[in-house]
Amino acid sequence: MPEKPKFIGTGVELCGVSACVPTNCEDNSLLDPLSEKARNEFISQVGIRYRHVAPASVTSADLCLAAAEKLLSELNWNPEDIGLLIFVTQTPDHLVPGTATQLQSKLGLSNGAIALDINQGCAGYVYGLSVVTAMMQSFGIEKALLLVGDTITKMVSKEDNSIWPIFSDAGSATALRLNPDASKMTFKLGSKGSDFEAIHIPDGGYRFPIDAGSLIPKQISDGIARQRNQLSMNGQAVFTFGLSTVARSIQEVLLESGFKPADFDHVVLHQANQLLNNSIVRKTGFSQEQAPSSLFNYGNTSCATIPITLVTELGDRLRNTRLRLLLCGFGVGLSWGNVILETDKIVCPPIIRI
Amino acid sequence: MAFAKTFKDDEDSIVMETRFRELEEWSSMQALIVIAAIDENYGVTIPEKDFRSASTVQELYELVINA
Repeated sequence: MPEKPKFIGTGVELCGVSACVPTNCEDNSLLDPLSEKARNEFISQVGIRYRHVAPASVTSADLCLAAAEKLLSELNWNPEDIGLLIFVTQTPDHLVPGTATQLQSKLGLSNGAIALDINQGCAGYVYGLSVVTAMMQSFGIEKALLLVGDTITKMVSKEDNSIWPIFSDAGSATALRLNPDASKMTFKLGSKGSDFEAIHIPDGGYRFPIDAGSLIPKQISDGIARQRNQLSMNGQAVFTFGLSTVARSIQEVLLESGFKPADFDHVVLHQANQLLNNSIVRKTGFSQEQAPSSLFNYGNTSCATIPITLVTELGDRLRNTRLRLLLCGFGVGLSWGNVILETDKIVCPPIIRI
Repeated sequence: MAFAKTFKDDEDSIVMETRFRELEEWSSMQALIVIAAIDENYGVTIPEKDFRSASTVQELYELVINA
């Protein structure tokens, strides 16, 4: 078997991170079709009570734009100095063109800036960091913005009790700059496309274009009805993927980097399910105290869960101290990504609501 | 045993022949709780398709010892 890819990012500093959620919030304890017992069990095991649901007029790009404007103003960065903007999302403004160029324009970046979309989900923050870091290094780009956000609630059926109580919307912005003294970032990414159907939307791409049949809600089982152009997830398959493949990937990045769990201030996992995260944390030798959770208040915001957790759970520490972190995203693809990095008193404004 | 302990109400009545999917407490959430408990106690992550094929505690036990 060929050696699994590892990438060391050098000379790139993470300067700041911000996040934004829609004001509109739903409470899982009031979720109608479920029994009170089922609702309480869901909240205590999966860990999600509140979810932020974007109205029709608010897109992922809008959430990321608000996060980016706040971050640039706190950093006192001139948008014209930013040479690269990467937008990670599965919910772009249009199917064509990509959204990154519009964000380049709205944020006032110069026409010389590179702007590119990446279609990634739950591992998307780590994938985005890897692409930004690699491009900054190889092109010599001084400053870059990574915008990561999704409005997954727009692709989920409200009649699907298996996933409607999970997903939530958010956007984020992360600022990076070249700095020869920056500590290195160690990336470890992976893919398992054979299981892509565990999380997917059957119709609406060019393999299976939308037709009239795509829009007919179909009763899959008790409490689960959805259209073929809406998100389908095999929660049990994703759960075992997390317990096995993802836990092993964390063990591998630890082994290869020479760090032990105790060397980290925090491990920040993709926020999908508290029961799963507790198991991954235990299996990989971290303590539960090292693993912050934003699930209760923010739910599963797809690619945005890691920056949301950084901002809402670790904001004070990020602003005031030096931290060594292991970030781990995993999910749609299926795919996963780990990065070990250090932050040193970065800019991290409180969460924004629009 | 680890499996029975994941059930609040039915713990004492669970035996190897129990068809656990027919228990009143069974749910998709309970499935995840059981998968996590087996993983924690026996160090075995039962693949999703194998788990779906098991209907008795005995069949789960065999999946664990043959893993």
